Amino acid sequence: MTTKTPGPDQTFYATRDFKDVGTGKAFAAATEVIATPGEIENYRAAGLVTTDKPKAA
Amino acid sequence: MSSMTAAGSKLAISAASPATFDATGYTALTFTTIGQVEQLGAFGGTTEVVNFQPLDGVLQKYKGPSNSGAISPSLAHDDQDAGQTLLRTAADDKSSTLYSFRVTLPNGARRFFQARVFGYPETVGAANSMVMANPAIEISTDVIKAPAVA
Repeated sequence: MTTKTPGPDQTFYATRDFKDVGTGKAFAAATEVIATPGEIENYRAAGLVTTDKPKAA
Repeated sequence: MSSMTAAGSKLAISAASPATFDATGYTALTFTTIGQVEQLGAFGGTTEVVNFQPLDGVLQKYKGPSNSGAISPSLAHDDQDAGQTLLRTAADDKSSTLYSFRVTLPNGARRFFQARVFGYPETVGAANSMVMANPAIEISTDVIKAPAVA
């Protein structure tokens, strides 16, 4: 599967709470996700991150 | 003696495809580790036996098509695990997209392949058991064996 590599200036947000046991990182829903482009690519394919900024509560 | 137990083995998945189908190509990918794996089971290539029985001799056996097999790991279901989530995405994928996988043995040796995931059945057993999943990962490429990263 080929997906476009996320650009360095893009900001990604977690669509829900999730964790990555390989890196030890955990992310809360609607928070910014700081990860490598390869990690982001997998998170995005899994639907775990989006570039859509969450609306303020 | 370099035998080892399975403890410490890992299974990881990537949505990306390698530029080259060798250790170098797969090593360049970023994999997301799949959490809560209990066991992986047997996987790797086997070759079908094609038999020919001549009228006046012993049964002859020829090598037919090869099959890299499948993995049906046993996982404790975890909604928040990123690797499991990508695995579920692969199972739900209606296309014939291939996903890349990496198995890491306790000594660091690696096995790479691409596969399609044909289901993610969940098992809800007795009260004293975990909710488990047994995804069907059908390997569709050669399994590439690579040593531990130096």
